[in-house]
Amino acid sequence: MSAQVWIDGLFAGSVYALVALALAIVFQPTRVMNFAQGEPIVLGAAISYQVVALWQWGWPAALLVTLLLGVGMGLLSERMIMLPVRLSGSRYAWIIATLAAAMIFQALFTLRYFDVDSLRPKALAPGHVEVLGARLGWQQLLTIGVALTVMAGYDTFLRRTAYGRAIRAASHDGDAAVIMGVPVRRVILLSFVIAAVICAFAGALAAPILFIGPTSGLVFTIKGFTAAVIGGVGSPRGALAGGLLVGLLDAVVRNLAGATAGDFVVFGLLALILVAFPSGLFGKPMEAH
Amino acid sequence: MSASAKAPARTQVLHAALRWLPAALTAVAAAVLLAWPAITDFYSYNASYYNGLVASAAISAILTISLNMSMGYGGLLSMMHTGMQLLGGYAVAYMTVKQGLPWFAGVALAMLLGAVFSALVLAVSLRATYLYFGMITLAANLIVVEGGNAWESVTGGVTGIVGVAPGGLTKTQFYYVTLAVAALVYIVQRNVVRSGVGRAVMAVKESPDTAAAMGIRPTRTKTLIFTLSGAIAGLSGSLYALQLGFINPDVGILDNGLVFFVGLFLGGIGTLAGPVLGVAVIAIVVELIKDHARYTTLFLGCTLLLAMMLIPKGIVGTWRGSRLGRPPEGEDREPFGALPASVLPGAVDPDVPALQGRGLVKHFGGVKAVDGVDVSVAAGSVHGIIGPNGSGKSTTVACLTRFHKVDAGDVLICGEPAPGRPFAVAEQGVTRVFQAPHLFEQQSVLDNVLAGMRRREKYGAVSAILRLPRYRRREAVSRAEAANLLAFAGLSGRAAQLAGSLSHGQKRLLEVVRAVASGPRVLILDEPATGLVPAEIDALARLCRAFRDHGLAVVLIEHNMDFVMDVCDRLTVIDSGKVIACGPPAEVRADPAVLDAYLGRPDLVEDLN
Amino acid sequence: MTALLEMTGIRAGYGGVRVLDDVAVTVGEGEFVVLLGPNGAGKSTTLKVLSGLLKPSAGAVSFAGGDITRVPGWRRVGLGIGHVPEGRRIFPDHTVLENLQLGGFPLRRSRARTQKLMDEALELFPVLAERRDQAAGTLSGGEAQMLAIARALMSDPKLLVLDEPSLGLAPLKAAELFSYIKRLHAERGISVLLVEQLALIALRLADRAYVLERGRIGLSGTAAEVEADPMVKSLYLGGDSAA
Repeated sequence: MSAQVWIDGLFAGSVYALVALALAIVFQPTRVMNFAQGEPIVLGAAISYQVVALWQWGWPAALLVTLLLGVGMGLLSERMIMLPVRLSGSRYAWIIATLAAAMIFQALFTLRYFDVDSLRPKALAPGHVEVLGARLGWQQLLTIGVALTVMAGYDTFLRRTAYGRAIRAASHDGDAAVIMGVPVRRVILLSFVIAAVICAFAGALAAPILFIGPTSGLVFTIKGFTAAVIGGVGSPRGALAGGLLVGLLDAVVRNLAGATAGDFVVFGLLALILVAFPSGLFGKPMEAH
Repeated sequence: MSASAKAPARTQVLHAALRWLPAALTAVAAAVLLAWPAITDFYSYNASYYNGLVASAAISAILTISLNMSMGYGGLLSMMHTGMQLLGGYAVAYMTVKQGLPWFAGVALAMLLGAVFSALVLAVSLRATYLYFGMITLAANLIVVEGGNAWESVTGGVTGIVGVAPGGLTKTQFYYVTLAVAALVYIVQRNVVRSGVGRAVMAVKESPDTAAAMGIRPTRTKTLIFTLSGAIAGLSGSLYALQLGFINPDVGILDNGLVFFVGLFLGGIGTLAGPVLGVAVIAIVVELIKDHARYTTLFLGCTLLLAMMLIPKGIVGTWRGSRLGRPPEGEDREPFGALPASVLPGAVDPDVPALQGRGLVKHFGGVKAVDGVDVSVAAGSVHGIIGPNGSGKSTTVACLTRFHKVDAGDVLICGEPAPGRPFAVAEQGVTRVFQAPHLFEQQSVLDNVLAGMRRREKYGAVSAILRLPRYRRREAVSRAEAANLLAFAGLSGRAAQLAGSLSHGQKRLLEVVRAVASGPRVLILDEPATGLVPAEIDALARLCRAFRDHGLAVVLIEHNMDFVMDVCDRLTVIDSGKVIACGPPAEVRADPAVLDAYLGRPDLVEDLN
Repeated sequence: MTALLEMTGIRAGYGGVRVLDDVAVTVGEGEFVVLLGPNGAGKSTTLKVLSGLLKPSAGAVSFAGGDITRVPGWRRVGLGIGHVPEGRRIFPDHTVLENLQLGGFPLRRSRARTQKLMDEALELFPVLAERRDQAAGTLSGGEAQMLAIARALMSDPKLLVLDEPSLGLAPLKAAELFSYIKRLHAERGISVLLVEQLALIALRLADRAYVLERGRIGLSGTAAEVEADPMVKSLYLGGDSAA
């Protein structure tokens, strides 16, 4: 097995880690595991494809549009998911609402790009370096770097700022946070926006290399979820560890046993971990909504 | 005068009409569906398309009913129903196309596979909480789909298996087969839900603790309903493959499951007719917008979100909650009759305490919530356990009923060591009513009482599904006893009403009746009088005394002191995890230690004066 | 004395169950008011309406001269209502210092004021200063209750609302806690609304008292009047109130 496999694994893993982080960001204050969390990945890929490959406006424009539409998608997701969850009162509301949101976004992407197989613009950072005989693309390095920076940044935000402490408090006990003066509803809205923007940028950065089609959202959600479970839905560090593990495992198994075996092993591992460690490997248990 | 006499008459006619409305609609629908092949043949050149449409909807309805049994009644979030459908499809395709066996052998294998697969998934995930259970089913679903992609020799890989057909049947004959199976599955669902088996399932869903306190085994009950649901999902998958003629891994992906979720939530989750109605509505709508088929998913997604906000209980649930659709409000009646002998403990030995705890100790972290409590409850008495908030009363009771493992001490039930699990304690005759009400709000008052009887019912799922004599005899006895109990509690006028529409006080009373229906020797009530008006407290006191006079031991944890002083024969006062007084109410009331515990010690506060 | 807090005609409940019926509670500027009543009488529900966690179906809440019935709960803290909730509800994974910082969330932009409040809180409760970097979940019951009070003080409240602070504390610890509350009121002039089960202690501390009974105000008056009323004892220990 060549070093190339490891590099590709680390690269894909950093994208999964970002999805895992986004899932955790939304899950903590809402107790909602957002099945639409992979959709902003597709959004980011679609924007970079549209702006860079079709319109030829260049990457700065693409990143700006990604930011704007990412924020919009976050706001919209919050309404689409939290309104039904608050109004319905069913114990399944979260799963049904997030699945419906995922399907709606997916349908919209498919309507726009029904004739596009892979949303792939040219790289933001073209070229590569040779490392131990393997090609490490600058784009890959950039994505991994961004992922690490986002993780570290969010970790610091949670620990060092008043708003970060408020988010942690709202995750632990929403009512108690309210009577401390924390606007919990606003925290929730903010969580959806941050999560969507993170995933949209991850999608835009990954699109030149990773396969992202109009219907890929759910796959990214599930891989990100696997990463979150492995790492524990508590800390950005856990998300990072989980994401890299999933990416590496995926790449290694694909390399050893062929393309279809990768997913099989990842999902098998997910099942095994869930069965054997009902609270993840490193984290605290997630309590249901 | 005549106008006021006419008004109730008109309401009565209206109610009668409404009662028959569902039956009439069902009859019309059944007639249309039976005549459907003839109708389409007459009106259309494309009859087989329209027949196929209805057959596909019937198959969807079967899967949605299966989903309803697991999620709606069982409370088990399943994201693997499309995967089980895929399994069923593979089973029938493999048997017919690859082995050349008849199609019904494939159907049988499909049901078996579905049942075994779901039982396995449940067995490995018993420790998982509700959210994780859902996630395990999701992983299981992905594994089935990926397995289908990978195991080419059996499943045909990505392309799947084509040429699946119900050999020997014409398309029209198969149409009737799917219709008949859908009807059968609906009946199975109804028979399960309206039996002790289904009531046990709903009890576990509502609250595993309450169920265990009624002597219902949560694990066994969940396994049963999930396995049955799996078998039906497999069945649906086999029909799907036979109807469409092919099966491939795309059938199993979660995206395709959305339509079933929409059907279930639109129609009404946890209702009998909801899944069928929801699927029918979707089938009609999808057919109407088929010229814009690429918008179908978008449309379904938006419909689902809107339905959750506008009619959170679905069509059936909303109808049943509406003024027209709900059972007429009952009336208050005076209590009459006597307690049925079968729920009473019979002769009791007054010298052996019915329930006894000796030296109970329970720590939470470093805090001793219960610190060496001795309590002894005599048969045929009302025993109050009182104390200030947070003193350890509820923890003591949780230790006595084995909901908490004790760190030290013994529990004896009628002199025998108590078994280790909550449901086993309940089987020994110690039941409890929790502080927070756990009624089945969507079921009738009578059904709620029947749920309490499950411990004494000896029939299983098969008897219930086939309505064997064993089931019929016991069900008749259960209903008669439940009616007696309700009459004795003064709730007979409200037996048909939904439990959710009772007043708070009636709900508490109903919970007590349901607990007694399990035929206990010891009945533990946790703050039953909270929020009750005086008349309701009197009714509760009357029930407690009646139970005591018939040999039951009643344990009362209560804050309403008038009530406690009025009905209790003995009191145990707990403060900071220790017994500070024990004796008859009058004695306890005068005890200075009790006064201090309740009212505080102002002399300890510095600079107060 | 002008009224700081005025709740009038409050009706509220959960689902279909009405818990409060026409409850009126007033706390004057600098006053110490205690709300008594047996379990289930609606004391905690009254405080939930006050904190904005529960919307009343009828009635009005006004604070410092303005109507706050429709003001969301988180904003009321900034207006000057500090809460010490039932069961303390401290954030166990946050450190003691972080818990205090959270209490100062509404004032997070004025650092100097926050620092001053923090110094005052740590001075009042030296034990918290010793444990400032410890996770709050490791505190003992009495320390955790002090943290809950200190946390509420961090928003510089005009009115301190305490829900059963003595719950689960040994008598001596409870007595120590009440001394602190008494001092806060006497030395800093903070108005206090105290919900308490230990009626005799609470009545000695308070200026005025209300007794809730089954969702209604059954009795109100000065603390001495209420203490003298036989109804109070009978509410807790049963028996005929005329006896």
